[in-house]
Amino acid sequence: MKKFDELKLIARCVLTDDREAFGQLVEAYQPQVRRFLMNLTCGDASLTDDLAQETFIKAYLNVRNFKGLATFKTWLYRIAYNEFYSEVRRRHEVASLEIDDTPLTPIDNSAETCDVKLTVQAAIAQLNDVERVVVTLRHIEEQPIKKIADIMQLPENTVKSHLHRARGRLQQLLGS
Amino acid sequence: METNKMTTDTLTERLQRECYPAPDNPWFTQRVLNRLPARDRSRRWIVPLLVAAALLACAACWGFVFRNMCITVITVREVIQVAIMLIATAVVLWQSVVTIVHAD
Repeated sequence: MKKFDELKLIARCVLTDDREAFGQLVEAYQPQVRRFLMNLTCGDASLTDDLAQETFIKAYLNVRNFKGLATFKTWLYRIAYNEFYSEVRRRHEVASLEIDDTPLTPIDNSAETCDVKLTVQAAIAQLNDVERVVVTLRHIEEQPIKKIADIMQLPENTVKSHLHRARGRLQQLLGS
Repeated sequence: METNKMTTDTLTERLQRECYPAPDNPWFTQRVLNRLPARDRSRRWIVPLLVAAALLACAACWGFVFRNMCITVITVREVIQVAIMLIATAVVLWQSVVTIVHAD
């Protein structure tokens, strides 16, 4: 979505509480947000949709706080990341968070493809939460380091350090 | 660092190809909209105010153009001014209609 169109829709949301405009924003950005959360939750579709819904509802409630300095997408990623981390903290408080690396239902039935998909998805699941976020944002969502630092509220060097470590682990796990 | 860049690009390509995709959910947007709180009616005055302000500004500009226009002699500058005002008025009227239609 072009920046100008995005700002027009946001202005309509802020000034006139235009639900149709907000619906267009959700429609435009929900695939990326849901894919981001899907990879953070290691394939938990139900949790992904819950977190994604909370993300957009929080975005709606706080749209007046959106200053336009970052893109709306970056702002959404930040809310989604915060929602994911709140969920992680909530689960840690109840019990230790178990990373579920049991196989997913493969997208197609080819055994070969199934193995390849499991390897990458299981490798992502082996990373810790911070490494998984950084790898997902950098390699899957293709966000630059500066934006990742903004999303995670970390210094850029810390992000680079996490990324370097995560890449090393992934390359070992994937056998590259 | 060329080797590192290639490895990073290969890793990116592989992760994008084989990561978890967003699950198909055609009702997602509607579910989000259904969960939003009740509409804030206190801002209903904003739309009519903006539209009125835009139309007043337009009328003021037309007044300025006609006040400075010489009826007996029409210059190229005046033709250009009127053309610009016609386009601006058309845009303001169109946006006003769209805004009012979308408002509720």
